[in-house]
Amino acid sequence: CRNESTGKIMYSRDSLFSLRALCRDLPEGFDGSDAADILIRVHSGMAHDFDRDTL
Amino acid sequence: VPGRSPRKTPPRHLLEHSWTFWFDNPSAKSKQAAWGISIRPVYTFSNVEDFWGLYNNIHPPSKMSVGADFHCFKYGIEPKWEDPVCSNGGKWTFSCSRSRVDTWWLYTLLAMLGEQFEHGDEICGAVVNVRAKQEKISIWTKNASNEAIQVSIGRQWKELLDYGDAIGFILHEDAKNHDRRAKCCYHA
Repeated sequence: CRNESTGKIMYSRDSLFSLRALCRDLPEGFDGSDAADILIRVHSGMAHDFDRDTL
Repeated sequence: VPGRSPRKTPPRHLLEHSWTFWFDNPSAKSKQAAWGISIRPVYTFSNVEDFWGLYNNIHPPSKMSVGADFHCFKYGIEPKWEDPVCSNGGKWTFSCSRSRVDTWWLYTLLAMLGEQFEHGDEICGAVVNVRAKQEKISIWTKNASNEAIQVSIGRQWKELLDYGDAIGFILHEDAKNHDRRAKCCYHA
């Protein structure tokens, strides 16, 4: 993904979306804070479908 | 365990930068006298998988409480005017309906994380403000005096979102001095 002209790691929107469905679990280190309690909608993984049109 | 191969971690897709999500809790804000004191960093990530793992499990902006501010800034930059990286900067902002905010917020994040902006080094981060009448999304930049670069970022942002209306850029300094009467110095 490293762009030869800029030297940066670049991803198109489509390439990022292609990885979305593989990442269902909360990453370590997020759960447990006050903000996490407010922000998390599902504690046992994702409960909604991945529909790019509805996001 | 003898004979069992070690558990393999799937390869991670590194991002160019590490990013931090910050959350300003609306219920905490009302109890605080000084602006910004209730903003908290909630998670820092540096790869695509951790980003999606978080994003897939948290409320989108349209489901957050009115008054919430949700920021995604490069690691090490605080989403405050006082941060030395932000202090000479400004922000591009547009308002949108609750029905569109989730799409445009996510597209904004993906454009930043994927380094889709030609002048991405000038970007500090983005924020979505959840409000009763309409939501706002902003991109904060570092050096407001460089008009050509600021306008380039604004134009490219609109293209990436397929956003048709005009957007304006306000200097943090003006916002600090004039609050809601601050006028846009650039347009795209």
